[in-house]
Amino acid sequence: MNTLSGEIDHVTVSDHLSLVKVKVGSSYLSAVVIDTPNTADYLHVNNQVKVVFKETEVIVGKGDGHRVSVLNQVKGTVGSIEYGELLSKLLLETEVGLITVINNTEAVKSLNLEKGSPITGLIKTSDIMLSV
Amino acid sequence: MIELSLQKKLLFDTVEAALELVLDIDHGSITTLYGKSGAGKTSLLKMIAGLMTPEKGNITINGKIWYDSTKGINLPPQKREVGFVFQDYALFPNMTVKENLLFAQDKTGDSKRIRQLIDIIELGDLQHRRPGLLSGGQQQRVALARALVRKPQVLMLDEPLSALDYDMRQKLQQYIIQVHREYDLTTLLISHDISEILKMSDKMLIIDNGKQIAYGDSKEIFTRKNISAKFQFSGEVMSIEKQDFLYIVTILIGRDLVKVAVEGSDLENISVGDQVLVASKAFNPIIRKIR
Amino acid sequence: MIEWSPLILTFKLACITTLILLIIAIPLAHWLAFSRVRLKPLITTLVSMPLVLPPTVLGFYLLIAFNPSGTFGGWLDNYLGIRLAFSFEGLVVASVIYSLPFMVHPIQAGFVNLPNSFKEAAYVLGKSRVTTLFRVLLPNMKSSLLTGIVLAFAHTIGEFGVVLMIGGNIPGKTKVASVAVYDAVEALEYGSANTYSLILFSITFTILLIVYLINGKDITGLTR
Repeated sequence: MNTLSGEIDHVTVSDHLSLVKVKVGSSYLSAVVIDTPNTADYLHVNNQVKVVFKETEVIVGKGDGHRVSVLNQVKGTVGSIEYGELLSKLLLETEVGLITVINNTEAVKSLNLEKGSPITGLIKTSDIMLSV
Repeated sequence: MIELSLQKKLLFDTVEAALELVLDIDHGSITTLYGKSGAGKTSLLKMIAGLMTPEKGNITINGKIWYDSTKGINLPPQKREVGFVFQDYALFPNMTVKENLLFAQDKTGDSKRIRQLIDIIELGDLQHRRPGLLSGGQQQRVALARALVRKPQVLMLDEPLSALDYDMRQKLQQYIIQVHREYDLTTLLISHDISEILKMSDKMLIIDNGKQIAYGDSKEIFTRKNISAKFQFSGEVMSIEKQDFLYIVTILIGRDLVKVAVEGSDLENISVGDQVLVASKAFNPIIRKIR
Repeated sequence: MIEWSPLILTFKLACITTLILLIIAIPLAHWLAFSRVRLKPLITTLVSMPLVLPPTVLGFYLLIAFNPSGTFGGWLDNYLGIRLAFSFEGLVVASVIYSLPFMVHPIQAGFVNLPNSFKEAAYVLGKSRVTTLFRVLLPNMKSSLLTGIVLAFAHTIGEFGVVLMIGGNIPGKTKVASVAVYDAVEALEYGSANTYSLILFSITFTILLIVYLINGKDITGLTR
């Protein structure tokens, strides 16, 4: 899994849900969690948290300026690619740090990526976990 | 209320180290002792029971001093009102189930108590059998009943359920919770099973090398260090298989086998047989009615 | 034919010795099994000495000790009126010492083999050490007790050297069966020597056989 360290920048609460915006590296990642500052004492601005998401939950877009309904879009370049039969593994160097991605080989190949290609990593807020 | 402060030199994995614990345990609570084998859990129970003498410290149970090194007080185990369920059950093979219970009775004890216990723990059909002819779960029930004959204030169980299969565990957990409430006990138990701890205990004490690592609400302790995920279970790793860049990990959670696909670096210190936490965002699972 | 008195004397001696040994050995074995006193190896050695010491050596020292004109023997004679040298009582004392390890060792092993939790469970259930000993520990080591009783009994029947040294050869008083065999052979009465021997052989064989049959059954009964 990808584990990145960050600091809580903002918490938006609605009933039992919170949208937590975390400053990671030079950018931000947001996560939606079933907790509020009342039920989880780590949910406060300026607290250090770890942002956790699985390699298989990252979508890779070529270039930037994608118009998709994904809040987390981090810019970067391709560090390395390893192709497998069904799955391929990419290492992305992004604004939030190094991210490992595992995607379908066919989908990755269709992007014609090589080392250094500019990309955007897309992660849904509901796929990101926070850990203390 | 149990108040204790204890010091004793013990051997931990052939290295001598000091057990040092200071604890207040609420009356009426179930507390689990959790830690590696040889961390000092059994020693702690034995010191409370009077089967092992600390070097220094004091033990006060509901205001009554059982042990105080400065005042030279050290009640023998016979005078401490404890119920103790041993890991090997320690049922006496020369006595039947009922005789084992009768043996525990004081001269002044009433036979109603024994009949009541035989009822609660459903030993009626077994009472005239010898322990050697009983299954592990049945022996465990007899040991539990016997420990309660003398109306103890503190009930202590040393890994009571570790040798039993899943169904038997579930049932015995119920028995323990039931007698705990019925007889207004303060219960201490040793367990390695996270689901058991979460289900049974109010508080947990984690000890390592005779020192307290954490003490508090068991749910809080387990979730505090964990993840914001609401979908989480503990289970045992049954197998690990490689598949492209992923590893398929088969995990036994309760009675169900689940498979989780993870990347290799997640498995660095995990091997078959380990207890693991399985967590996912609450947004991923789906629910479908089956009955 | 043969005289019956040596045989009767032998069994009387064996019965009394075994009874006394049982009473002494239970507390002694319990102590040896559970005590952590520094002195323990010394006591263990002393208890085991009769296993390796030539019986005549033991007999010789006991004879010296029991001598009525000596210090100990004199004290016994003057104050208690007991003469142990060349008397049946002396034989009993010597046999008790000589067969001590045969009773103590099995019982000690029996105590050690019991799970420690039996004792702890009984204590937590409010039972005293004595109650625990008689109601929990001893009833669960019957085969050890039986082994101790039989070995001590059989060993007392079989002893010769000590008996001869301490008791001499006084018919009806100290002349036991094993000495009678020796006597008969010396007098070239092979017939009666054979009768004594055959009786001793069959009786000890039968006792041991019964014990092994019972113990064997007991063991299978436990593992069932």
